[in-house]
Amino acid sequence: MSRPILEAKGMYVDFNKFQAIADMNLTVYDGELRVIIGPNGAGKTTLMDLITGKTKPTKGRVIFDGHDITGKSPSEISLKYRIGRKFQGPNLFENMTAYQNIEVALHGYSSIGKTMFFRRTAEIEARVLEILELTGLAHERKVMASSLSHGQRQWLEMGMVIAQDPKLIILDEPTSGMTAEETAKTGRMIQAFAGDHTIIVVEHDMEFVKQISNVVTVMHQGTLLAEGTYAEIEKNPEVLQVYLKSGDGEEVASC
Amino acid sequence: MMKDLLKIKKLPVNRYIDIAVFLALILFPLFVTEFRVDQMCRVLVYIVFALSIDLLWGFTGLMSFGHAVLFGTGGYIVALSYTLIKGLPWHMQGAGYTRIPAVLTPLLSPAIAFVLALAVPGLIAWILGIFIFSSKVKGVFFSLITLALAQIFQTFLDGQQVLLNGSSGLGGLPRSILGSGAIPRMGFYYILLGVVLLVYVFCLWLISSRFGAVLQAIRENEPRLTFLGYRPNRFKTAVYVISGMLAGLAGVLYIPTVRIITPLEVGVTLSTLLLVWVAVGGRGNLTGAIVGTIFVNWAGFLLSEKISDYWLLVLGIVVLLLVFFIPSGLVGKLIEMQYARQHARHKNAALDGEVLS
Amino acid sequence: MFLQLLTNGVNYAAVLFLMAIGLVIIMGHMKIVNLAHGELIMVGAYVSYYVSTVLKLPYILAVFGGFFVSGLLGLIIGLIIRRLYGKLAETLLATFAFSLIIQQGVRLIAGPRSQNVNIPLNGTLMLGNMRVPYYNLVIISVALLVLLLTWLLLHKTKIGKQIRAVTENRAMTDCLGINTQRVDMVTFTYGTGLAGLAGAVLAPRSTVTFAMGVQFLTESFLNVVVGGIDSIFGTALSSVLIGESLTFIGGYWNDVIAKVLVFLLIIILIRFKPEGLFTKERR
Repeated sequence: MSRPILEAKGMYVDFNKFQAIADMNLTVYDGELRVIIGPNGAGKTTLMDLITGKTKPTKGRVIFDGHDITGKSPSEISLKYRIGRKFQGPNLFENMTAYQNIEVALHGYSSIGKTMFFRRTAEIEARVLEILELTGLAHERKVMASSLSHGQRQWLEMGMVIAQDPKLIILDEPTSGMTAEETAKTGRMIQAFAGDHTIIVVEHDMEFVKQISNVVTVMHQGTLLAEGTYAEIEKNPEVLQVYLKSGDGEEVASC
Repeated sequence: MMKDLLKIKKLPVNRYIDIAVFLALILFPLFVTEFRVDQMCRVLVYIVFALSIDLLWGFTGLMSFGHAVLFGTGGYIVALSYTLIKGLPWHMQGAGYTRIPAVLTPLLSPAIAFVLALAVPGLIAWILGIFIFSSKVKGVFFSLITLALAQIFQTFLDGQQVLLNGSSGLGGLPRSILGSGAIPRMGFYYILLGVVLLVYVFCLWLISSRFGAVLQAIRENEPRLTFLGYRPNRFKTAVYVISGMLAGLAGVLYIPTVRIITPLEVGVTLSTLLLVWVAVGGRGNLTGAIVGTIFVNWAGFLLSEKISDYWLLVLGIVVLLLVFFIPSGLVGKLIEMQYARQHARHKNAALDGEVLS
Repeated sequence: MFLQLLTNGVNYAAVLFLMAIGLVIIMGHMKIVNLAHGELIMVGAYVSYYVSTVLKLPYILAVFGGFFVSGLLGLIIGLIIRRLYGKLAETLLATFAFSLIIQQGVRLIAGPRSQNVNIPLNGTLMLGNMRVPYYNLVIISVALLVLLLTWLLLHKTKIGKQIRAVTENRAMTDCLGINTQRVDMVTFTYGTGLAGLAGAVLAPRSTVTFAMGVQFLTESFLNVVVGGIDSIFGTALSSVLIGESLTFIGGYWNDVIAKVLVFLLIIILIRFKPEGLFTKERR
């Protein structure tokens, strides 16, 4: 295998005495497509928060591409170290068009001067449209993000991440709320990106995991439970016990 | 396919309104009395002011309740300059001054006064921005602090008896710009209109640049923006400075238009009314700021001739109805309707298979 | 001089506390900033003018009257703006609209002229060189009483527990079958009622006009910025801090500089403690 691009070592996060992450280790290799699964509350999203700088760890270090990025700010991590993230449940600029959403995400113009004297060259427009094509939204380019369907919203945010041109792409539950057809389309999309990028996908949908994965990391109660190919994971008795048997793991309590 | 996608899009409805409004403003003085022209001059100044808050509130989502502070700072600097050029004012003589103190001599140059009248509001906005935005102060606290600022500014001006003539303010100012002689009324109207047009074009340029898109993204979802490599605080401070300088410019224009400035005129009331103008027209599209300012001010002029200050009661009721029934404002509503129509057509087209993506 | 300023400061703190407490309760509970708060104080002041000066009734009735009239107005406002819950700009605009309506409404009813309310308790207590007007003692006692009663209401009554529950977690409380709308209305009425009470108590010390509201509003806001919106004790402490600072700087220098300086200090303060000085650190 190639060199490791992301190493999270001995991560701990405490929220008011509650240990969300305890002694978690994760190594992802350059060019890999890694899937992270685990039941609700296993700490998957928190781990992503640590990598992207949203949350600071209580203990532990995150090394990315040879740099220690522990505790750096989200903007520095995305701009300087080039990690892009799609959030759980689309996180968009609602009253802006699909085109604008992608354009704002486009890498390389994040200083004030550059944004002010930014002109829409044919090259830039072509790039935005290319990404919109890639995510199946070219026809919706003038539609407000808020008027898109749920699946389209997920794709739009994936498009934004691609526009960032990151070294590492993190996709937090890219298929949640999607129809089977949309899920399959998303899987093809992710595999298309996988060639050029290192990707981490956090997922719930086991069928989908089976479709796209090489190596699967299983988290449970804030720590690493198992790691291996889908076939290996499927047979792991511990994994079966905590995760696969507990159904889809989707148990949002409302009243 | 690509060519089809790159087809020049139709202008949004509000750009047509802009054109119509500017044409109407060009023709306006030809049909009305001098008194009405003077009133419209004041409205033109307020349009510049309204465009400045639209950048800050409409586009970036920062609802400042103290924008009149920046307007008033610009205005007072120029007013003081005009006053000193006429000679040592009596309120300073009364305090025992026999000549203009050395620190104030730069204000004897109209050009320096003009530069200061833009730079000082910009500086104030910059300092406030650094302190307020880099802290975790969110949403409503920005509004609270700026409202308090407006009140304190008014108190401060009231207390400046010697320099600024306290609550009576500075009056008897000439209708001149940058030290020119007195400008005739009509000429002055068209100069103002020209400035409004320039400011409008500047704002249009700014918001259609990527900078403008980032501002809107801050309004829509500031945390998301940090994960795209931006530092929203810097953008917020930058737009506050730009908006503050434009507010200062409006203050500068206010002086030759109204020819008197008092603490009451640039206090809390103006700051809040400004937000009402923009809310009535619709925020975040420039046109709404222009239309709302014209609409509310003229309603005010005409109604207060009949029912004096009770027109504010009418205004209160109108704002209340607006918030519940047309929250996006008059122009905002039109834009929404246009979008809904286009969107429906777009959906139908997609269903009919006319356009394949 | 020092002791005199210190006691004057305590009085100022009591005034600030009475002005802000209603605003804080509503902000903390419903996340609504009521821009008509100053006008509700003004209404309380007018009620006390009519009750005590025009009708010559005992002053205590004026205070209760202020509470009830403003509370009733507040209830109406609350019922209307409740629909805007969570929309910041809209609530600010709507409550500003109410402030215009109340202002001009009062002007229509009571006329544009300003009024004076007689001080119900004249005379001054002399403590050595210190002069403490008896009415200052009244204001301070009322402030302490309001603090105590509000605390008891929030912590020792059923509705108080519900109010705190809704403040903590609105969705969850809704789930538990508590009528959040009723709780909101009680909170709104109580908060605005306190504004009226403040107006009635402070009226003898102010010139009562329809336009007096705005000055109360901004001073209350600064108080909120320093004290936070989580606890009434935060408000009390920040009232003392701001009241004493303004009195001391004002006493040794002048009032205008005092206000400007205190404002600047607050701006610097929020840079480091954005949620108010007396708010616990939260994640």
